[in-house]
Amino acid sequence: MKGVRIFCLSFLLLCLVLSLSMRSPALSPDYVVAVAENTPVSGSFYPKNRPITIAIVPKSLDNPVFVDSMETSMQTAKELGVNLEWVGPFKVDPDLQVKIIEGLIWRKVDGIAISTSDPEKIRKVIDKAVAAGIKVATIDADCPGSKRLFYCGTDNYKAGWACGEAMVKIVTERGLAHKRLRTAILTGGIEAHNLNERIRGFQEAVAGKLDLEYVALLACDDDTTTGAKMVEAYIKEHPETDLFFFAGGWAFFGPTESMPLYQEWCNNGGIAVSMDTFYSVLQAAKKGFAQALVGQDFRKMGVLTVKYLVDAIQGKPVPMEYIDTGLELADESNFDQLLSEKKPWEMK
Amino acid sequence: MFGLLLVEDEEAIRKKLMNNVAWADYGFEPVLGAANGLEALALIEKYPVKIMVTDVQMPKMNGIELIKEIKRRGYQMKIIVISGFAEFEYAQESIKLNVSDYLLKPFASKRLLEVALRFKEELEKEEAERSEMNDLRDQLKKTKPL
Amino acid sequence: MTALKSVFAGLQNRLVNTFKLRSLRTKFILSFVALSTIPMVILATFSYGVYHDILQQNIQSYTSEVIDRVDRNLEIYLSDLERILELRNDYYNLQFIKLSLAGDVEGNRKFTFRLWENLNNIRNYKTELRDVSITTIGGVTIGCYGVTHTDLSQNKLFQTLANRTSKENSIAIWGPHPDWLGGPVFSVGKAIHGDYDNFLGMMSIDVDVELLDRICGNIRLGKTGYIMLVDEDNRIIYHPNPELIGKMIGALLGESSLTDWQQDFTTKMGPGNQLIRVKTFAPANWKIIGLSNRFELATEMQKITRLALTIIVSTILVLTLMAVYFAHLLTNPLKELQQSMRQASEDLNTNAVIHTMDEIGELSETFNQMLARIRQLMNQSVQEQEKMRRTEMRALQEQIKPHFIYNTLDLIIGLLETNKNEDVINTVEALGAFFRTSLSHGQELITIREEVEHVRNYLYIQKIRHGDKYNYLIEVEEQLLNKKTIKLILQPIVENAIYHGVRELETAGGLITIKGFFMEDANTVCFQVIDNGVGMDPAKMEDINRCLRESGTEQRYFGISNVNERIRLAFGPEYGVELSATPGGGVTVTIKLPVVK
Repeated sequence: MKGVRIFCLSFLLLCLVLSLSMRSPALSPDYVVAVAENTPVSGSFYPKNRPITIAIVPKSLDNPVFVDSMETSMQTAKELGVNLEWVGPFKVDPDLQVKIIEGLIWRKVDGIAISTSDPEKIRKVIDKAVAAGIKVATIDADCPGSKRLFYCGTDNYKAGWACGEAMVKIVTERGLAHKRLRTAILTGGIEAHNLNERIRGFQEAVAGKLDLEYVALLACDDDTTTGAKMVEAYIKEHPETDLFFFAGGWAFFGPTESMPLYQEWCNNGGIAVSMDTFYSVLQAAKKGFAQALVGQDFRKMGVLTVKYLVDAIQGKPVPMEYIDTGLELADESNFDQLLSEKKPWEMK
Repeated sequence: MFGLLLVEDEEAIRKKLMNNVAWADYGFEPVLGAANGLEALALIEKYPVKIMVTDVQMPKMNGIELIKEIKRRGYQMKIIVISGFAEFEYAQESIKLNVSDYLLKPFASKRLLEVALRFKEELEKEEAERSEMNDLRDQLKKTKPL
Repeated sequence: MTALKSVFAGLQNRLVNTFKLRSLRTKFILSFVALSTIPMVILATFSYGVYHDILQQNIQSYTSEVIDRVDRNLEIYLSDLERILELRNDYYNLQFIKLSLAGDVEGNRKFTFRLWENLNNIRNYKTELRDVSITTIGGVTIGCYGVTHTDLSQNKLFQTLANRTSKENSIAIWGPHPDWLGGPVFSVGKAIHGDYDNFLGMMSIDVDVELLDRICGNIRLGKTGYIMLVDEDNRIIYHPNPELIGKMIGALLGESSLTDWQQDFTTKMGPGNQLIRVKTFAPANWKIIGLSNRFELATEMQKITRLALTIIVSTILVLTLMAVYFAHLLTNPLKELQQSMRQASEDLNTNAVIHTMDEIGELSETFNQMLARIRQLMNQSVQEQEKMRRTEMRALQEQIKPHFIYNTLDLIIGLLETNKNEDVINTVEALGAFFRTSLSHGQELITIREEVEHVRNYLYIQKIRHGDKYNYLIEVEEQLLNKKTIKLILQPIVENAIYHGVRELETAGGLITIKGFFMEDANTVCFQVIDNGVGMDPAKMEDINRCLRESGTEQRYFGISNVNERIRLAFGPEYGVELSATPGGGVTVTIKLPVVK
């Protein structure tokens, strides 16, 4: 009996010891991460003694209207011994444009020229860049109310006015001035200041002379293909439209074969006036897609923008805040002559 | 002549019965001894036995059988049974068979003598009476023609 | 008050009973519990260790698997990028580079436009791609956002590729760095060579580091474990906590942990009891680090331990209850049997009433059989005793035959009447001795000497009674005289020899010889009563012998069968009486007895 008792006791002890030993590795402290000292990400890309760097930010890269400007600006930069960067969103994207400009500010470029896609959004970043000591200009599309140094480009109001005058002339010639005419407008972006100026110029030029009913405002986001498609679609729906004002030549940058309905509309007496006098636009106009064209001088824009921006960076005064690069008028009388002077883009 | 037959299987007792009493002196003649019933019957045929003393238990023919045989044959004699048994059946049997007396062993020889003498007297008296009667009858017969 | 007392007494009684029972029952319970729990505890202890190892191994292998997966995902992604980079030798690219280097802006505008479109299309292949660009050795970069100038000396990727030979055509990776749009990216690039294997520039892809988060971010090792990535400079390039990205790994895991990391898996212990598993992502020379917390293992083990303990304790409990139940089941019949036995010790007529079919049931049955046998034997014994007494009484009665007594007394009287005093004295003496032996009540066994004297007295008396008809001779071995026998065995035989043998002879000369001797084996005493009397019809002798063999007192042959029966009752059936013919006439009776001292 005694043996049994001893056995019992030792058995219980064994159990106790086992249970305790199983419990012991508990009680862990909370998870702790040692925090390292703050090592800031290095900021600048360029050494201090780098050449002057200016950047031109178009509304988008895929818009061929800027090709001439890019070409001349690069040539001018090369002549002046400065670095020129051509940066922008591939397609029109105001937000990305803002981001790109911010990147430029962060990179501390010396000067920036912007083709403003949305003045409301760009204005702040222009002011930020100016505050950072960067010389900022606008090119092609202005950003009114911002602290930009100057604007270099077409006087869009004047260009619109010219388009209006051309329209009045054609309509009057066709004896339709007394008639109320349904008018559609194609623009690039509803917020684009330069385009809106053109539309305003156009409307104010025809006011009192023609009785126009504005039936549609189409926006193609500066896209060539989209522009053509929108026009074609609109004409399909509304063949009764009388007039078409193109605030930019996007619809005619591509092959005209994609617009058979529009072509038919033109043949049936539709009247169209368009901005831009690029090679392809001239070709289209010659085919009857537009009766009058008003062109801008993008080559001059590139040259002047770089020149004055470098001046400003080097501390030289800029002659005026508004640098008008002039207009080019075209109608049936000089289509062939202009076509012979210009060369196609040949980008695709 | 007064014959006495002693029937006893045990030799020593038979000798005692025969020798311890001077039977001749008391007028018993002859005194015969038999070891069993058969011997007894043989002797009875030869001798005029007036008194027979017999044991009950005996080989060959026991006392009771012997008595029965004697009755059957019509012998007239006094029979004295001697026995160690005092059982009632024996006594009854004895009475039924008209046994004269019954003596229980052991007994002194003189007891047997007394009994034997008594019966002898009785027999002799009977004999005498019978002779008297015979005389009387003879006288009667003689007188009858008268 | 008395009721209370009686209850208390009952309780005490019960306790005492339990205590009595405790021995077997407690032993059973304890051994049962011990036998079942000790292996269980041992098993639990071992399995705890094994489970711990397996768990740790599992965690390690899981971590390795996860790391492998990360490694594989990175590699797959990288191989995708590499495939994209194969486009670098595209005609337009080469044309752009050549014209750019030649400074032909006008001639290049076509390629510029084309490249913008191409590069943007490529970028749209994958969501994490931030930029796809081509950089010339002239520092001109054309990418998705246009044309920029690059300070080549600051571009590690370019430096890496530029320093390679043209043969070395694999990709190069530049760990996380900010691109000029502000976001952290890592870059992957491949060199572009001209017609003469001359280095012209590179095509590179900027990938948002968000990709690393996408690959590693949702991985959890346990509850708090995670995956992080460290570049070749031991800078953290991915950590679930964005604040730690860009910090040195040493700050997180201690400087010592940085050294001796091998190519393949290495397991180390980090601060805070962390289990660190490392694999190098070879293409970028990054390290994929899996951190899991060992305390979680402990927590897991604690859970298992609790479960195991619960199971063990409840099993012990259940086993104990079962043991108690089984002990009850086993000991209860035993208890009942014990009670039956106790009862049987007082009253043999009880029976153990057990209905179980097990060993205890068998035991009870055997016990009942034993009881029955005891009862039977007792009855038999009582009967035999009774019989013995009865036969002895009968024997005695035979001795005191009135005929014998009266005849003898009669004889004595006769002797006295003839003045044979000497004979009378002898006869009375013999008769006294004869009856002393016969009437010696209470004494079952007497010496053979006494028995022989008894028969001698008898013969003396008989001889006197029967005169010279026969004689007798007594020849008993001297050694035999002190042995014992039951009494009155010779006299009835001798009586028969006289009455049915020698006395029947026509003539004198009968002889009765009484012999007593040991048989050859010295274990048996043999008496022979030999007469030369008239003998016996063989059929009758056979009948008598048969009766004797069959035992029981046969009324027809009372004297001899009584002797035979008494001998058998006293000594067993192998002893007894047997008749045979004496050669030359007569009967020989042989009596066999055991040697009794």
